[in-house]
Amino acid sequence: MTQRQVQIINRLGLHARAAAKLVHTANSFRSEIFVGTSEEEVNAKSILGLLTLAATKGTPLTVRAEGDDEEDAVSAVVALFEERFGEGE
Amino acid sequence: MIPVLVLTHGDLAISILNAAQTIDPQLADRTEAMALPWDVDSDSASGSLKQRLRELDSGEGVLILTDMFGGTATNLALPFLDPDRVEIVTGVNLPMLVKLGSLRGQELPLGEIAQRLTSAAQKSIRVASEFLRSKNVRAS
Repeated sequence: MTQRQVQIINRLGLHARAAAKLVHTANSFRSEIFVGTSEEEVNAKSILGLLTLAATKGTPLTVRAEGDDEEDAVSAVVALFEERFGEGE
Repeated sequence: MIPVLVLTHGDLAISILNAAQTIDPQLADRTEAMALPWDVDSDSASGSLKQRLRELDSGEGVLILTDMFGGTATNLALPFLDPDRVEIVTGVNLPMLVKLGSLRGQELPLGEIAQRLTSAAQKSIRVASEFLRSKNVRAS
């Protein structure tokens, strides 16, 4: 298992467009990938699951993956958060 | 990838698909809207629908998403229902389309996509206060 902590830094949080990008990134890996708050964890390949996190700016999240490409998967998902999902702020 | 036609009264199909494509640009591919005028002529609309289905179907079948069971859009689509070639899911909503976007790239059969979209759309309808209460209970 590979796991990393990340914080949402884009202004709109994990909103629908960001969640769609996250799902497509997650779908490009074979591993099972999860994103969780301190309260719950959801499948990163489920867009509606991600949206139920209702994760706003500043929310600390854990990205966890299990599978043969888990390290690359976690790095790619964390990169999305760090790059603000390609948003300006 | 199975093509999808959103079929509704008025301009709802165009607007809801525009919104979904803004959220998930992958929905730009092989997902189309067909808007029925309020004074629709059913024979001509049925002919247009038949033509659209022919154009969309490249051998994998077509999924039609309509606005409301019992409404004109669904009634026009029902004669084309053929579970192996044309499936219909009623009650299209934005979560359903966003879910469709997330399934792009997976080679799922027509019936499986229809089931997954239905489940996602139904689960997405929530009373916010009840949902938040259940979250708080889980967290405590």
